[in-house]
Amino acid sequence: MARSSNRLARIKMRRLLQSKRGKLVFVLSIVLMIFLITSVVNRIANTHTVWHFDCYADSYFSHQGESSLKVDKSNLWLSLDIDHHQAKLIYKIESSVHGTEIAQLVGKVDHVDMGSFTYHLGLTLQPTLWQTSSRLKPYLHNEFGIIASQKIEGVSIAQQVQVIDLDNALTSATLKFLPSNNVWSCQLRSPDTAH
Amino acid sequence: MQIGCCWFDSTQRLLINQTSAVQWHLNDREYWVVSQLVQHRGQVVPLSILEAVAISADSPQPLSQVELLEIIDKITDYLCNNHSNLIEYVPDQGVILYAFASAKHTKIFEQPNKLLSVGQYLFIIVIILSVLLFVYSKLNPPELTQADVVQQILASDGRIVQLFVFGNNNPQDAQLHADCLSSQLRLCHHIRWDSINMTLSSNQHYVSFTLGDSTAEIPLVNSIKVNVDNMSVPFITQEWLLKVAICG
Repeated sequence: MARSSNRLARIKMRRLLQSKRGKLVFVLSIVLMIFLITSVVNRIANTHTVWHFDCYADSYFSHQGESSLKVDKSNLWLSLDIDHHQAKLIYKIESSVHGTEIAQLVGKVDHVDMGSFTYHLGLTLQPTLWQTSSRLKPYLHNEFGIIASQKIEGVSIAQQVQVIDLDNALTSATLKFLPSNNVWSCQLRSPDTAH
Repeated sequence: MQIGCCWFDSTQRLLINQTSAVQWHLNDREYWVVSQLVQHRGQVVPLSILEAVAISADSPQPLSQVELLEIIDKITDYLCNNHSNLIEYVPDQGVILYAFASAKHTKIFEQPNKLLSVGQYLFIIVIILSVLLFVYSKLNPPELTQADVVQQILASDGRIVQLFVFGNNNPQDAQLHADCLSSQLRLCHHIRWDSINMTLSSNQHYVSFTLGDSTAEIPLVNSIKVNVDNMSVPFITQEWLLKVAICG
């Protein structure tokens, strides 16, 4: 019984494939399958991205009214980790006079625009101990486009990070934060040595 | 002998249309032409042979070219529509009876075996176009970051420094900063870098510099961030360039 129904199905299938409509359905289903496979591969390829950027800048952040020539140099670090859909940014400012301040933001990669090599991140600043005359806090307000009077902690921050320059050896990169237009010069850590 | 949809009965001198079952009794001249064509099927039968009708033992009855053409037309008309091109008159040479009717492809959609109808073709074209549009919408054109101002500076020590200034939607502002920076750089005795990128933040309170020296054995890179309370007060001076180690 099962064999005869199986045979019947096979005959029906062959008839369908021989008919014009069957051929049309066959061609269209192949096209559809190709696109499904492509979109799945595209999704997998996009999510398997792991980047670790170590960025540094000499910073000369003055307080109101302070002459730019009298400002002490501070070391400003940014470490940006993108691990699949997770993103983590750690800012660290260090100076002999003012000590060290660290701020950490965690969040998700909302989407990646490969045409412009831009990561769209949704970030939240973790609870941070700010110094009384913090130099990092105004910088972060600027970096994330939040006005000075607004609270920065616990708020969801939409940030775009564009890789505007990347050398062939994948060792150094230049990152641009949007919409603030701030630029960071970074070194790339390979994923193997990152942990 | 079969000619398209007709049967040629040589003994009774009959051409029978098998689809309509109509019989045509061929006269001497018609019979001569048809029999000659059938005998040399697939070959051009010269006009000289066709025109010299020699059926009976009598002397050949000459056939004029006009009469021959009339006979050819009559036979062609008698054949079915899809076999009408079996017989072809080659001007000034002769007449040929082909072995097989050559298929006529009048419509492009009928090639090779009329696989799909016009509607189905259009449907596939619409599907392919919409798929292409879908793919195109997913592709983002590469966005190149272009500097608002690009300048080359010849330092007093002879070094050529590339200066790139990225403003924030305000090219005039970028130009002002570029002019200010380049005029100060020209006064430096020595510039440590051969490329200087200056980027103004969107709210104009911070300026980022990325400095590079590709001439060094190990390419040097540095980055400087400065906050500026008042952009109208020029902060780029000789002393400042020395302090942040762009010059000197």
